[in-house]
Order: sequence, then structure tokens, then C-alpha cells
Amino acid sequence: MNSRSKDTPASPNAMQALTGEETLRLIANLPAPSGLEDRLHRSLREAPRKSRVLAWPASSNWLRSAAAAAIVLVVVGGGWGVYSRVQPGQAPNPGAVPVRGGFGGAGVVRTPVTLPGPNVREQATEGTRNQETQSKKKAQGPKKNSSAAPAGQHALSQIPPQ
Amino acid sequence: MEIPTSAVNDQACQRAQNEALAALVDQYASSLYRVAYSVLHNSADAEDAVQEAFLRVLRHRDSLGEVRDQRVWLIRIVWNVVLDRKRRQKTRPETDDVDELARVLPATGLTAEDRAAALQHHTHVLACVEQLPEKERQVLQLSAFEELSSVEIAAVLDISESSVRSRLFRARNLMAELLGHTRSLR
Repeated sequence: MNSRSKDTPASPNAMQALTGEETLRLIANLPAPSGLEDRLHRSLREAPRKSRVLAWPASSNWLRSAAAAAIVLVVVGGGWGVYSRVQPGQAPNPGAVPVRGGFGGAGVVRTPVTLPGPNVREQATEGTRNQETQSKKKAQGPKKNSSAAPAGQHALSQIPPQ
Repeated sequence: MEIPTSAVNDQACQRAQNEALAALVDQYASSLYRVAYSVLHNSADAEDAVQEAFLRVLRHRDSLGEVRDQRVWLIRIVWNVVLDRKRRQKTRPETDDVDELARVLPATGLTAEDRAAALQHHTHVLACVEQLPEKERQVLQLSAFEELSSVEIAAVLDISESSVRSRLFRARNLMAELLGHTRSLR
């Protein structure tokens, strides 16, 4: 019974893999170029010692605390300013609370779509038109007699004699 | 004029940190270079990567005393630097790597023909390594360093030791398949 694992050196595949690893080992054991340490020392000496932009003065914790407090004050003050200006929104309608898993109405009030109502203006014009025709008719009656008598006389003639 | 005590302490602390950093350079620069070279296959790039790693150490030198295993910590830093550079260098042609390999690989006692054959073989193996999935490839590359144990490889890659072993197993099998496949094609 062969108790060797799949990657033991005996199997040909494992031999190929080990050959591959030999290459990696060969590369891993290559010597570093000469003078590497000196070049690194030089570059570290020439490197900027501290960051210039956000450099805090050494041993001035009070300044750091004051700056932090100022930042906190500005942030809190700004937040309070916004909060005090913004009015509280409309209270949510409990009837509009969505069923679990469903969609919410986002507080929208539904207005039913209604049919166009009666045109009141047209009716009014028709009424006035009827009135006008009636008054015209009334006016046409005495017009026939207008040639016989003037308007003042016609008015007088309609007054019953006492 | 009296010099403040805090300033003297700062200077002494800074001097001590510089000396510690210089000692780290002397002790581990060569190892870090080899780690970088095993991935980048270019000596100038590897040296740049080591320099960048030490500059990162310089920036965080205040926390140097808190590091438990400085060697693994440094290898982890240079490994991350190297992976960043590798991602950015996708456009560089592979022929540069082959020329570089031919320059640095040992060729003593080999005829020109043997040397060319060895170079071809190594190039082919490296091409197969590049075809491996990233996780398996990283473990295989780090396992080539005899000074790194599986525990240390796990610490560098921030994975468990059992993951290192399983990935190494998969990587070896995949490598065998890739090398066997290409041999059968020939």
C-alpha cells in the first residue's frame, strides 16, 4: 500500500513542482547588491524628519487640547445653529404606517379624482340671456306703439286712470 | 541660557530611535531585498521597495518599541510595498525580467548552452507561478525563503497557519499541473 501523499517527491508531478520551487529558492537566495545598506542609510538621513503641514509643536499639550476644544465648539455650534433653524416636520400619520414588508406612503394625503363639476358661469349666462330675451320681448311690445306715441306718453298711458 | 530638560530628552529619544533604525537596516536590509526581488524580479525596483519600506518605518518609529517580532514586521511592510508596486507595474514587458534574471542567476561551471537552457527553464517556471491564483502564489513565493517558518508566513499574510499549509498544498499541485501540461504540449 502506498502511503505517500500527493506531493511527496516520489510522484512525477511533485518532482515537477519541486523543480519549480527550486527556481523560487534560487531567486530567494540571491545576494543583495553591494552597498545596499549604505544607500539606505543615506536615504533615511536625507528623508524629511517630520511632516511639515500638520506638525504640532513638541511638548505643548495645552495647545493641542485648545485646538481640539475649538474644533468641537465649532462643530457643535454649527450643528445647533442648523437644528434651531429647521422646524420640526409634520407628525407622521399613524394610519399611513406601512404594513411590515410593504411600502410606506411617505405621508402623502390622497385626494380623490373628481369629475368636472357643472359650469356655473355658463348657467349664469344662460339665465341672464333668458332675462335679456324676456326684457327684449317686453321692450318690443311698446316699440310697436312707439311710432304712435313717445316713450313718456306710453309710460303714462299704462298708468290706470284714477 | 538654560536648555529645557524636555528638549534634551527629545533629542536623546530621537538619537536612540535613529540608532535603532540604523541597526534594523544593517540587520534586515538584505532579507527584505530578497523578499522584494522574489516578487518584482528587478534589482532597482526591489531596492526602491526596501527603501520605501524603511521610510514607512521611519514615519512610525515612535511605535518601534512596541513591535514584538521586528523581522516579520519588516517583511510584512516590504511585502505590502511590493504588492502595491506589482499592481502598478502591470504594463512593464516581461522581457525586462528575463534579462535581469540572466544577469543575476549563477552561471559558474555552465556552458553557454546549459546556461540558456537553465534561463529558459527558470523563466518558464516563473511564468507558471504568475498563472497561479494570488493567494496560492503569495504563499509559494514566501515559502521559498528558508528562514521563514509557516507561522511567520501566516503572520506576514495575516492568515492562519492551517491556511498557509492548505494554500501551499494547492499551489504545489497547481504548479505540478501547469508544468506537466506545458511539458506534454512540448
